[in-house]
Amino acid sequence: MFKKLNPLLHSELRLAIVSLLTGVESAEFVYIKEQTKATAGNLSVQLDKLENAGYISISKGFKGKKPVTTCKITQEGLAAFEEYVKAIQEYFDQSKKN
Amino acid sequence: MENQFNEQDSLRVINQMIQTAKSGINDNGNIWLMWGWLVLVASLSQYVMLELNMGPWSSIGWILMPIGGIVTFVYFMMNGRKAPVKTHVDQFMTTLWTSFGISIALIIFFVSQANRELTMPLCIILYGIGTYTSGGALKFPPLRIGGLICFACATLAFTCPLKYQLILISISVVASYIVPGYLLKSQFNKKVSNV
Repeated sequence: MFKKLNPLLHSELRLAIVSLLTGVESAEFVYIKEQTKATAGNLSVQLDKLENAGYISISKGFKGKKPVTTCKITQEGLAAFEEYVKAIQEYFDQSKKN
Repeated sequence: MENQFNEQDSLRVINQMIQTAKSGINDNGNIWLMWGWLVLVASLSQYVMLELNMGPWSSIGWILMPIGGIVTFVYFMMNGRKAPVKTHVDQFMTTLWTSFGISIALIIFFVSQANRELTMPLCIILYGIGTYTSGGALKFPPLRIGGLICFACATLAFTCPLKYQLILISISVVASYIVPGYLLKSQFNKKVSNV
């Protein structure tokens, strides 16, 4: 029996955001948008979902006069990501056996 | 769309994003070069002035150090703010070089009053710690080699009078700042021209 994959992470864009943030200290909205090739609207919605789940923290500030949104993964997000990767690993291990 | 996202796709996305995050060295070498040249000019000028018996004026070159400190601070404030992403290595380097700056200031203020001949070897050891550790974090062997050369120079400096310590500090900065600085610069320029 396969472990159920975390539905919040089992989505292409949300998984891309979380994977990207696990590798860095923090990243700005523009950078995430560039790397994931998502639209600004869709990215905003997915970032909100991840923030509401406690997986990322979002802070808003200014660079000169320009508003900047910075995202950072939380401990909870890291744990969920590790759990997700473990579940995927188990899936492939099982598939090999069958 | 999301229903068709399967386990294979998950692996692809994770792999792709993790590769993006570890995009390699983004250091253009400018700060390494600036500090390398500042310390080289200060130490060699002091050596020459000591040779010419210009005693009280000999250490005037070290006035460049606080200027370098201000330039570095402004440079990192401006560039750090511009960067849209901060990697774990960036964070580590900031912490490392901040503690380096504080340590070197403490040595200059306190050790140089108590025992002038200990100041240079201790500064060279700090250069060694900074560059060897940075070389490890950036996975850049020239900095690690430079760090090891600093440790060797510091060992010799403990046994030398001030005049020769100045030559050893010059060798240290050439090996640990100037050479790696130019190598970082050329690597960075190649990377930029390939984008």
